[in-house]
Amino acid sequence: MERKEFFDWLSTYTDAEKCLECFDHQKDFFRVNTLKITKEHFLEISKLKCEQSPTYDLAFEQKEQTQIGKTWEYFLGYIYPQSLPSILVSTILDPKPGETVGDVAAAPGSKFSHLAALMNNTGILFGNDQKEKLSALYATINRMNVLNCIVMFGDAVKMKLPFEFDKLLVDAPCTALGSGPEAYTRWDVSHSQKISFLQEKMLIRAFDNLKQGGELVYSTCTYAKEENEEVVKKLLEARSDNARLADINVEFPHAKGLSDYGSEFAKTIRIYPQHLNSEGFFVAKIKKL
Amino acid sequence: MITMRKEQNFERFLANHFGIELPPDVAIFFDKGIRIGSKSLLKMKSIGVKGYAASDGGFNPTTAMIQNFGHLATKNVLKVDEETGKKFAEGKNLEIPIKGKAKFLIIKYGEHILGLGFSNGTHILNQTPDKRTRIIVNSI
Ligand SMILES: C[S@@+](CC[C@H](N)C(=O)[O-])C[C@H]1O[C@@H](n2cnc3c(N)ncnc32)[C@H](O)[C@@H]1O
Repeated sequence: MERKEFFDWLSTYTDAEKCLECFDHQKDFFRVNTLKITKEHFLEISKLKCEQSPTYDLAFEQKEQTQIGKTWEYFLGYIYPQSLPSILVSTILDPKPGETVGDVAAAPGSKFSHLAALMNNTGILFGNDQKEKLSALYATINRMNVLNCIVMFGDAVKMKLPFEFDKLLVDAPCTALGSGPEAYTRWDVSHSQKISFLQEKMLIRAFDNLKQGGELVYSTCTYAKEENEEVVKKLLEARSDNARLADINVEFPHAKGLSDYGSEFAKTIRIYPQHLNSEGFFVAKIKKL
Repeated sequence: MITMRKEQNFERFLANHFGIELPPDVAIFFDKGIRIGSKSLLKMKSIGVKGYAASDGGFNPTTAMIQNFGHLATKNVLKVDEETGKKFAEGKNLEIPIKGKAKFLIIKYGEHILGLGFSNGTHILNQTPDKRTRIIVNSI
């Protein structure tokens, strides 16, 4: 798609000018890995120029241009470079120590390793992705000291598991319009329509693996409603007896999900680049009654 | 039974060679090599679920395992300065002669565990997998 066409399309969602402007000036963040070091100790020993985010205390904005992957902090597993919205997704799922938690599309493991940290390496953290992505996931597991995990590979659409989950993350494959500056050049709405079929199947399968009372977070880093509200709507229809949108209680700036799909979609959130000077994300939380 | 023996042998090796007593909330698993993971995963093992991936230990201890548990070691730890530490992080062998038998050593810079080396008497052979090595551009 041409930039002008994309601009017009994006304007139907948000202030496209602000969105693209902020997108081009994104801030770089990393997360302190509490499985290796406490935040306090990290601040004592690290000389990286950074500032703690007011949104989340383990997220730090880089204040200098550093090749973050070539720092001691990265080598030693003390940090994970990750966009702020990506960090916040795991906090919205809010796994607790001792729970059984799953991430059905986990590679390369940015949210997965954060989930392990939130669980303090207790309980069971299940991770799945496609076989060819597993080496990246293992590298993260090893570097970040994730000890409570079980990793499998397979099609999340067909995934059948011998246990049920308290919490599940479906961080779906998507057209990534919110994360890649050039993503729109390779995109048109038909791509979103095509991938939404896979997203819907993944989401429904994941929901069926939740315990009664369990919660699921569905997230993408794209703006298209076909990959976001529409996918969630299909789950709510397919499992109308026990799937309900849950509130996402966050204080950081965001927009509500699109009400075209029903007033309950005000419970879902859209994070545009102008909100956090970072990637764009869509997040929905669904409860199994 | 054989599997159990491998797990016990590995635990004994960690204790005898490095003085590492693993914390009570972790266990050793055998699944295509030795792995160390949270005890909570034993529940999965008992229902036959495989794939406990946490901290791949290999049978020789690996960088991942040592980086994560090396701080518990009381012996066979080699302290290096930052410059030497950077060489090690880059994947280079270190020209440091050590008398006695060839053996594994934990390489430490300051309070930071860098990984595992193998002393052959004249050099410390770097055991860090290529994918993990990198040029370090800052100081800590
Ligand atoms: C947005 S990425 C996940 C990022 C990851 N959650 C993180 O935060 O590091 C989507 C992932 O879905 C995986 N994927 C795509 N199709 C899949 C399928 N049918 N089953 C399982 N995983 C799939 C991709 O390999 C990719 O790693």
